[in-house]
Amino acid sequence: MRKVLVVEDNEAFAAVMKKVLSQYDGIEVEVISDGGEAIERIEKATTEGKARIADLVLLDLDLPSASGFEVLESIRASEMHRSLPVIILTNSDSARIVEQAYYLGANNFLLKTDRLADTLGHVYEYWFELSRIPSRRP
Amino acid sequence: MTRIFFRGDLEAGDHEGAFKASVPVRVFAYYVFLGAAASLSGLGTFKFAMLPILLTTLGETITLAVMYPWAKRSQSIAYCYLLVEILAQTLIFWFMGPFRIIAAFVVYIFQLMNTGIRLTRVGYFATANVFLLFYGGLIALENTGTIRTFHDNNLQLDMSQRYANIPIGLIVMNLAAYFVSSFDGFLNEKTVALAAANVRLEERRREVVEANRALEVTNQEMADLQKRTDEFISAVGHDLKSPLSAICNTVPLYEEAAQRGGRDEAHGYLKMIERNARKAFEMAVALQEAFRSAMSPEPFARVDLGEVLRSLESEIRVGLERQGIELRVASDLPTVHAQPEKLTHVLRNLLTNAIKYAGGVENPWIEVGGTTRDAEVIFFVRDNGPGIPREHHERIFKMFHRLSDTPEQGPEGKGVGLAVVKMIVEKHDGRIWVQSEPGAGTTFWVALPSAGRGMDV
Repeated sequence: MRKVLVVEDNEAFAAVMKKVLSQYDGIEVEVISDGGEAIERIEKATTEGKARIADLVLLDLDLPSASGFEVLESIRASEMHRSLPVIILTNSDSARIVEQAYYLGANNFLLKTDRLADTLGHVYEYWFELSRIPSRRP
Repeated sequence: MTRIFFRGDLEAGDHEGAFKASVPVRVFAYYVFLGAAASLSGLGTFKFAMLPILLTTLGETITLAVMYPWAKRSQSIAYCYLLVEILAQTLIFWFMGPFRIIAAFVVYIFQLMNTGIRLTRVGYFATANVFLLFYGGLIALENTGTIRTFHDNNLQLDMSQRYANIPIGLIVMNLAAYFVSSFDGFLNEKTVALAAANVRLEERRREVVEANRALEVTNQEMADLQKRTDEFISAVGHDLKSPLSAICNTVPLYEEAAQRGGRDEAHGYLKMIERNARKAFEMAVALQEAFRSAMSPEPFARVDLGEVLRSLESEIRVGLERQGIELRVASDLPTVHAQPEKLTHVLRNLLTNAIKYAGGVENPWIEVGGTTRDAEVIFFVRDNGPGIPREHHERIFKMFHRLSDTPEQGPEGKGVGLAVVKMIVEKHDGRIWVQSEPGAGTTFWVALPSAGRGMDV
């Protein structure tokens, strides 16, 4: 069972993400709707040192109490979460924000379209089925 | 002295261009007279006089070209210039034989019209007679045998004939001075008129340049306004996208649930769709209101901030009384050049905000004050409310900042108020900022240029 953490405060988006991703076998989805809460969870997991909070994070940027960037920073600041794949999923598409996201260590930057289900399908396919760096010699 | 010989309305030697242009003309003129003199007086005289005339003409031209820039700067050098000029002329005519008086007459006119040193009538007569003094001196020197006679050996003029040239010269030269000074007066009038026309032209040019600059400023203002509007629309577009795309994405979920017969689930999705639709609708309404209150045209006027506050008193009294807030208004509030309705909107918004967040504090108060400093009118609305954390200071001025995606909106409204206030202040070329710490109250500062801007849009 692999776990996807969705940090998203719009209930409709959260519901769509949970529903679509849960359709795939072996995927478990958790939704957190508050930036500050997400940061607390990361810090707690780091202190306990047992397991990462998730295997993949889908992160919105406009969040209550702490922004998506702050969440991303706290993920990258934690030793055990440093290699955790984080995908930004947002409405903001300004070059400055995209740049900032990658600078802070995002693995991918996706826009919330009106066909979020398709986007999530690609995310699943890439991150859970394809994303192994191929060896030079087969 | 200067007034007698030099004309005051035009500076000595301020026709440098005319002088420079005249040099080749004058040299050419000398040779024309030279040719005339040669053909009239016979080849012998011409051959005899040729070299000294050439040398003198060359020397005079060079001397004047060198002295001219100096003569421009100092009146005494201008006198020297005139003397050298007269001496040189006299020497040239001296070599011209019996026609020298006629030549002197013509060349002298030429000379005075072209030198650019403007003389008074007295000045013209004085120079003409100095000219004659030199001329008479030369004749005297020749007749006493001090200097050799070059030019009229073969003419065999006797003493009396030579001296007779002096009274003739006296008449001719003074006549010449009279004509030249009359003509020069006429010329001077024209020059003065031309100078006046030039001044007017320069004024017109300056006006046009000024108008162009004003136009540039207006263009810049329009560009700024356009930029702000673009940013605003882009930000709003972004904010509207969120609930709308949430709706688009929830509809398939609803359909699927409805088909499956999961009534409760389908109903839940429908509620989400409704809430997001409502959010988008409220944004659109708020947007329309914001545009109406910030962007509608209104003329600028002198606005007394104290008067604005008095006009708002009845609106805010209920809010103040309900929460037991004390309103302290400074007695010496400044006046400002602004759009009255817009400025009222700014103050109303800042005050109602302060009232809205005053809850939960003991002895709440709101203070309004202001002052004129440098080129700015600065005023503030201060409260002792809960304060705003530093990280939100920038965010509160953004459109829809309160419309986080949580469905509960709370009492804060749609978060357009301060964004509109900021738009209005910026349209006045002003600045707005907040000073606040949690627990230490909040102060909103507004600075507007005291002269204001003229654009009535």
